Amino acid sequence: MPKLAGKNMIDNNKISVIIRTMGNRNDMLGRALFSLYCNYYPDKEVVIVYQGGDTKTLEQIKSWQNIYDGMEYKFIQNTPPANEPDKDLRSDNINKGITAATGRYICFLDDDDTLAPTHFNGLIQAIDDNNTAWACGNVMMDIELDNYIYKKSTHFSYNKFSYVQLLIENFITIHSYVIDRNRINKDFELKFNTELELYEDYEFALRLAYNHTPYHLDKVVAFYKVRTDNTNSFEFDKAGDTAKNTKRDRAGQKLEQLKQQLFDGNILTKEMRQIITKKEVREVLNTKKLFRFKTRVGSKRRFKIELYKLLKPKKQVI
Amino acid sequence: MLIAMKVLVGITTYNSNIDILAKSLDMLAKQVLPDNVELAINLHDNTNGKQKAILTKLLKSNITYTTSNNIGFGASHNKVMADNEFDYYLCLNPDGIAHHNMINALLEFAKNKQGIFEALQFPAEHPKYYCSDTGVTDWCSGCAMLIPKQIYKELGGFDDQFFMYMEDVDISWRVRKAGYKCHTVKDAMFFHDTYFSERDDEGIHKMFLDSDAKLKKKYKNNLSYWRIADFSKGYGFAKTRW
Repeated sequence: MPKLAGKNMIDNNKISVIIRTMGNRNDMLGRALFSLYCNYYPDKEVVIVYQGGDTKTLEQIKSWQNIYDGMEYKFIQNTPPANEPDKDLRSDNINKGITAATGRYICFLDDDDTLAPTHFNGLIQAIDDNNTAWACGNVMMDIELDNYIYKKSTHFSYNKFSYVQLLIENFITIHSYVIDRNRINKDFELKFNTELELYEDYEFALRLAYNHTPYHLDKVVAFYKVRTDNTNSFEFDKAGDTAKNTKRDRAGQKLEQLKQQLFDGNILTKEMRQIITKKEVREVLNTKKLFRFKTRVGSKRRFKIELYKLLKPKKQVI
Repeated sequence: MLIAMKVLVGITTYNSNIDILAKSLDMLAKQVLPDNVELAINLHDNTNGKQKAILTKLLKSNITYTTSNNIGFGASHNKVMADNEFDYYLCLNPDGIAHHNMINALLEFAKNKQGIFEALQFPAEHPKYYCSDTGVTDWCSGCAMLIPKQIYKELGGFDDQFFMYMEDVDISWRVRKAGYKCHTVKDAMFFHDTYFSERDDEGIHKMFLDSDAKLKKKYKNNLSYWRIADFSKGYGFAKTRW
């Protein structure tokens, strides 16, 4: 792999994998680390950000480095403020991990997910071959109950990257991509938004893709666990956990605001037209997905009108 | 300390990836085992000693090295089983890595059960169906298969007419015919790269078809294997979970 060098460049080919974890999830974390241990990329750094104040749990987490050796480890404890002990620091956890990471390449991994052994090799090769700042791949969704996978879904698999599709739904999971920090624009803030307690990964992917078009590798690079015992963060709580549902609603509203800011109040600005091609819009409009999923950018009707306008630029005034 | 149970791990290699093999042996050394279990490992090299210099560098105190001509997967394991004493034989692929708790999970599950036991492939599981409660399945994969001594004595190991592929399906059907069961142990994880790396597809495909033809010839019209030798599910030989 070619090595870039220069001012402010990170002069290594190491990949830093930032994992955020909490208490009582040590077995899940062990699976995630086992998948990293089996990964074929030789130069790996694991940055584990543990949210919690329990030092015994932290010691248990640290003990994984004795089993899955051959990788560099960094451990960071991120304790919520005393007045908000239950605050979800998910974005801050990632940001602390990014700050501590020393690798040129960065990847994120939640403690309940796993990576394919070719994840890093495949995506880093794709970045180098195509000179893009980041590359993403497909994710296989494993739907399970009590560690028994009874269904698989290709929900997070797609033929090619589409920004329009990304506006409609978040199909880029947090562990499906690798970022080359040497190829990221200096003015891009490589940080997650700490105002969000959910959708922080979606907001980051939208911002990142807005500034840097990724290369999409049409291969499975990771696995996403959907636990049907209602412990996944993305789902509405079917059992009626109103606190969780309210949290999701609040985060959804915040995401809308941030999207509006990102697009300067207009869904399809001139800049966006540069990254969205007509062909792409036509393809997306022809898919059933547009109608199946509720768009999160303004109303679905307004979004569709904007897309149709893009197909007829003569009548469009922006 | 009284050793009550000996587990022999057999890994047969043929120009295998040394990095993965090194990790595999490293994780076997880190297995969390009950006090009464002794673990021995036999690395069987099918290159007739051509890889001895490389492979012997990986040896540790409980690992022995043997070699032979390239006699095939099942025949190699049969040789290791015939030449060693064991209570349980763990047949492992050289291109996989055992989770540090894999053997313990297999042994724990195998307590008071009769049959053979396979570990769950990781991170991409084999799609074949197994019962979530009992673990019972139609056949066990040979990539990480635990065979009790009693089963080996009764059935005589793998049928070495299969050079590679289908020998695991064959032994599983014979196990079931003898009145035992095949089990999948979901808490025992074995990393196995089946889907991700590019391989010599043509060579593998040829071996696969050759073994499939042998399996059909052996069982297709054998009425005593009715309801066991199931060719109706294609190459999966079992219904799938998804």
